[in-house]
Amino acid sequence: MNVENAKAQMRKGVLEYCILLILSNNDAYTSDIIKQLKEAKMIVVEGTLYPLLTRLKNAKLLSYRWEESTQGPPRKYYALTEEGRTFLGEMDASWNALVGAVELIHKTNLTPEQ
Amino acid sequence: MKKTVTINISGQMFFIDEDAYKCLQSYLTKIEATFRNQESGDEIITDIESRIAEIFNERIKRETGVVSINLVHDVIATMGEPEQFEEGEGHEQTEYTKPDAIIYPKSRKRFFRDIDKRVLGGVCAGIANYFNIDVLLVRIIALLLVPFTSGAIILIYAVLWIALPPARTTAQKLEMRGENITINNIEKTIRDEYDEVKRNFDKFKDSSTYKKGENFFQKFGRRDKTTLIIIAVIIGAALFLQMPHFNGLIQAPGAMFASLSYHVVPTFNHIFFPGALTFVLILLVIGLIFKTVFKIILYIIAFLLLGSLALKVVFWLFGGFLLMC
Repeated sequence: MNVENAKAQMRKGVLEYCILLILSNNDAYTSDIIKQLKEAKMIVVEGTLYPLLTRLKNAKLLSYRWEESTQGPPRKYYALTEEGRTFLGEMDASWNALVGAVELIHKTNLTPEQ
Repeated sequence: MKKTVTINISGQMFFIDEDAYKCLQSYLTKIEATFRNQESGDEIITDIESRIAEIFNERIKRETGVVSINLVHDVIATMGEPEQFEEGEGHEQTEYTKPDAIIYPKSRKRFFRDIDKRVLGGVCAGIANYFNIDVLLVRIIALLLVPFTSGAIILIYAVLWIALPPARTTAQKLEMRGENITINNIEKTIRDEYDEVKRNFDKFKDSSTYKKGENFFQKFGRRDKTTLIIIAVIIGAALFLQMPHFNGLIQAPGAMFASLSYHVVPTFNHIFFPGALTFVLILLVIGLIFKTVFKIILYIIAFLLLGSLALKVVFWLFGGFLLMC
């Protein structure tokens, strides 16, 4: 089991959650989503995102519309659907629970030794 | 100096260097092969293409306006190879088959006619591919067999030409060579072919055969080709029936063995029933009338011819001339 692989597995689990989070405030163009995820070092290659967006859209968590752009062809703008919002709410709760759980385990196991 | 081609990615036109074009094309082929069979695969491919167009627009060289090979490399590095996408392939691991393992987990060699390397029908090239030997060797042996078998090999060749399927698709070509059908292999083959075709075409374009050839091929469709072969076979067979013993090359070494000279290689008409050729002709006609059994009949014909050939060899080795005399 190598470290890179383990890290990738971790990122993979929360990538969808992150996409929904990015879209929770305002709608975004694919490149904006990519930019944010790259800045946060959540994805390594851009290609990862496209199958994921399409899958989320097929699951009706996301919707998109075409918007004219000042430069180049129309762009795809993604937005959260109502279903997506509910889904995000559940993910939020479970993420907080997860963070809490990891923190707790951290504390009980690491502090006595230090 | 570099040649430039024009491409259209998601509705936008770009000038792109030829080497960069090849690189981009093979990348997009790989992407397509990965996503084509997935749900909403077309959409994913379109999205990726429009993103590539967008990056091109952002980063294209202002002065020249041409997409260079470096830019394509950068784009591929940013987008990532299809194998790297997997990282984000989240929850439903089961529905995603790794592209390397598509359909044929084991590669099996199959007999195909190699129409890329053909002289006549590509049968020899196909045999060479199957046994992994040099095609020149097979052709020489085949030519030598013509006098040795009194021409029976020509009939066998024709039968094989009709019965063996040609290797048309890339998958078939890989199967013919016994290579695994993976995306990498397909990509490699396509690239090789592209180079080869381009080279050949450049050479061929200038020659005078180009225009003649164009007319020639337009005249004959695929169906006509089959008909022509059958006619050729029948005419050939008729000629053989008229022909006296054809000893050809055998006569020379045969003469060295003194009395062995004449009846060394009897034509199979004499030793196989009233004549194998008659049977073959009758069977061919039956096969052409009842198309459904055509393949079976071809096998029977091949068997007949091989049988008579084998008999002839036996006779030749064990003093067939005694029986003939």
